[in-house]
Amino acid sequence: MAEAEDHSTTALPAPQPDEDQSSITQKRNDLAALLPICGILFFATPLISTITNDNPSGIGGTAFYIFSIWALLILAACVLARFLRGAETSGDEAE
Amino acid sequence: MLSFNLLLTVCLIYVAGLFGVAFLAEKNAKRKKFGFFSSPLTYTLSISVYCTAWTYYGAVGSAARNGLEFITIYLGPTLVFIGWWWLLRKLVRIGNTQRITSIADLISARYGKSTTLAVIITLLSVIGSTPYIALQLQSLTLSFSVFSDGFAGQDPATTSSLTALWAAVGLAAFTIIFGTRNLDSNERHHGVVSAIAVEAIVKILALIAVGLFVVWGVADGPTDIMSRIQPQIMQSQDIFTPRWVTLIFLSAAAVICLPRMFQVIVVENSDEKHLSMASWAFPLYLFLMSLFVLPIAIAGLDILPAGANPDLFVLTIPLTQNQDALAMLAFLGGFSSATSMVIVAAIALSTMVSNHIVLPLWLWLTLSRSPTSEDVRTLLLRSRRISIAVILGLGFLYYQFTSGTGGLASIGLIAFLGVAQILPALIGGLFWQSSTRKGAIWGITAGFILWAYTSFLPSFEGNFILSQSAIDNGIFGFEFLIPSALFGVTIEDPLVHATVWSLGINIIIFILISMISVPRPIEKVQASQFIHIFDQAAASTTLSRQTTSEELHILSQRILGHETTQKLFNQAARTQGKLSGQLPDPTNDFITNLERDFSGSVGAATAHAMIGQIASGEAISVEDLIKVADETVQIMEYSARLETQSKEIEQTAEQLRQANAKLRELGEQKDAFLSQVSHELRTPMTSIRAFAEILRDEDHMGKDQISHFSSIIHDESIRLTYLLDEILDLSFLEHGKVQLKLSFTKFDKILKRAMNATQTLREQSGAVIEIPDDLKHLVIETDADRLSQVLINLISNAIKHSAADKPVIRFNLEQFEHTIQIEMTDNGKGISAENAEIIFQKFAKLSSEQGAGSAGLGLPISREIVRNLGGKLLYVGNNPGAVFNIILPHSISPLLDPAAAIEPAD
Repeated sequence: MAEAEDHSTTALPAPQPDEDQSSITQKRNDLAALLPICGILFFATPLISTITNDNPSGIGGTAFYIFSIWALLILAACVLARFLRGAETSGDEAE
Repeated sequence: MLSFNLLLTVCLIYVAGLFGVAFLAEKNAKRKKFGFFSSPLTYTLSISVYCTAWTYYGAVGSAARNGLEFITIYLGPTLVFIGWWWLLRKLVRIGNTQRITSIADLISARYGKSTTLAVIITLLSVIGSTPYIALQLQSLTLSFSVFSDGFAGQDPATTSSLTALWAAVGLAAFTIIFGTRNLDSNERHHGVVSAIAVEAIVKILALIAVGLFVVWGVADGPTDIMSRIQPQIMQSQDIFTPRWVTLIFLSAAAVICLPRMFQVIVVENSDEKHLSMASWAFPLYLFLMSLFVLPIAIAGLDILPAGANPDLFVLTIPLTQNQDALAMLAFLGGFSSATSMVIVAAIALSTMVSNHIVLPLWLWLTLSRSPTSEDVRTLLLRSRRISIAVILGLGFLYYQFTSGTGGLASIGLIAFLGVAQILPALIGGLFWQSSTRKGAIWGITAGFILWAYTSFLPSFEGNFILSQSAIDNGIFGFEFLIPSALFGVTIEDPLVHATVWSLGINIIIFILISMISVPRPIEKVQASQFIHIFDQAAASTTLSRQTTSEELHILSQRILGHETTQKLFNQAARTQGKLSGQLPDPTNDFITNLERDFSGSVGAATAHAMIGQIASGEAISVEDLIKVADETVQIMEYSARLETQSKEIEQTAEQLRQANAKLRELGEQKDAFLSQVSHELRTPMTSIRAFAEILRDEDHMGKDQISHFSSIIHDESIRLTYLLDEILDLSFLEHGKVQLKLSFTKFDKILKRAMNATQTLREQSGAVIEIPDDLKHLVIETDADRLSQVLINLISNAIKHSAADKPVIRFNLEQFEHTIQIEMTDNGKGISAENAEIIFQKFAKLSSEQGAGSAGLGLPISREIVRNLGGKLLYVGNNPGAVFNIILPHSISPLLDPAAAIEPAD
């Protein structure tokens, strides 16, 4: 699941030059909201119990789950930050 | 074992190094050579002031007691930072454009620069932070005590008190030196931030070093460590509990609302772009900080004797393994965590106290005097220094008061919940247009009281205000007031209970009061500035005031200093196109900019108050509000530009269509007029031609006959001329080209002329005309010939069209201040509704009959004449005969002034 989420951020479409500026802004904003929502989904919903309770290795497994999702979120945030900043500067120039 | 003296020496050297870094950074900042000290990396590292001694030592303790729970404290901030685009970016943008100096300043600025709100939040922050500062002092003394165990001849309690005291004094000195060197209009502290960044590196290196040592030095790698897990850590397997979610939420709220976090994230931010790096780098920092917490806790429980304080595992593990250098590094890490938190918190709190409490008090006290009679700069710096000392003093007192309280974590969480009370007002302020100052004040106050009752006061365990029995059985023995089960709501975890009550009530009150209260104009202006911060090219709070540049200059010198003031005023003068050395005009723009610069030093509310105090008529004009509204409209238009454009095109097309229809209608009217005119001309022309042909072709015609035909031709020619004259006359009248012969005339004379002209008609029909005496004696200034023409027309129409056997025409006069009204009534059957609409149209032939010799121009001409005479001719209805009103001015001359336009007839 985490991989799928990561994939969606890295494979985001590059803004087409002929694409409408406001729709780019809209997409950018939606994308920026996706990451914290994923974070909440993985960390602050019962999802965290259902995944980790089945794990026989107990606390070690839970820790592994949290740290791997965490690392993926950081990675996705890094990619997203780069994209958002690029979009922002190009948007500024367009304005 | 390290000696206590060696430890002290290293500590002092380390502090000296920090002084050096701070000093260097300040020097570079002054020369505008920022480099590393102003890089996004430094910004990110400075945010790690979030990781205090509580996280450094306490996380391991928490892991040893409650398993993975410690991780929530890091997950909350991670969520906030990866969602930076939505919240933090907005906060930073607002902070930079509005020159926000603290979280209290932000909330107060948003809700109409309210001083009350600023004071409430300042008090809340100070109360919430004091235990937190005490916590740092406690961890410092604890860590020192680990090394001073062998320190003979001293009472341990005295030693730790002494350590705490010296720590407090030293921290106060450092904070005062680098935190209050000058009053920057941006309220940024390059020196402090750089020192904090260095400390951030030290603490993470120390923790990672200890972690690596534990995993590969004490144990044989990760698998070995995991195999040593103790049952007490294993207990907490189902980690998704209300407490888990609450902790994530509280830590997320704290990373925004804690005064020191707001200071480093928003106030110290010099470039918005730094935030995008921090968005992933700070979560990474937290990730690394927590990576080894669990292994250290496991190892500590495994190798250290039972009863060892788990809060100090980071220090005691290396010490027991005789790793002195590592222990020293670990100690410095903890030292860094504690000091950086205390320094930044003290700066943030002292800024709030001096800006929102001391300065307004001083302003209030000096209200009667000139506000510039004392040096505000000196006052501010002095009050900040004193505030820092007082805040650290409070922390120390709290430490003394509660020395020996249990785990570090509980105190930290109470502080988190305390500052989280600001969150509803903050989020509402950034995203909800209708939130008001009253809502914010009451929401925060209610949340604050509930927090104090359910969480803060019980933490003293009966030693402060609430007695132990009140905590156990409710205040005055009322069971529904038990702090841990308010109104019988039993939630197992006291923190979750306190969070639900305080924040729940806070949010409900905030929303309800916001909905029923009406925001002041300045709140509305600030609300739209905050909410639409990204849509505004240049935010402008334009306030209409009257003040002089001299007063502003004096005030500015007091607050910003001579040099900065000179620079600002010269720049403003140049912008206004003035010579250098001249003072700029106190325009709205200039005052707004100045106020914003002041805000950087004294906070928005105070800056507003100070400017307001020297400027009379401090209020937002309607124009300003309209301007703000216009800006909003512009934004909306911009976002829906395409839509608007297509609508505009549609509108234009519609307008064109309408214009086209009107033109066609006019063309049709013109055609109709021409055909009517030609028709009217054709009739007499035809008879003239016919009789002329007869005269030409018939040779044998009697003299009488010739004379008869010639007179017909003559009459028809006259009728034709008359008709052409009328058309010409109407055209002149319609275009106002007619020459009026004005004189003061007795109405009697005008009437007589009309009576003479209609004599034949009257005698034929036996009509009677009744004229009241006051009308006969009336004298008005008008064109007598023209007016009599109107009367002739009306009288002959009345006689001709009246169906009465013996027509009676009655005149009536009513006089007003400037006008007279002559009413003419006949005893006929009136004008039918169908005809009433067309009587004033040219060539209108009434459907019922054919007026002999009438071309249907009489009434239109009459109406035009009256209009030219400055009045109106109206058909007002049937009573039962037709009633016409002629309204005329007493005197027409003033109306002929071209400036006073004559009102056209209906």
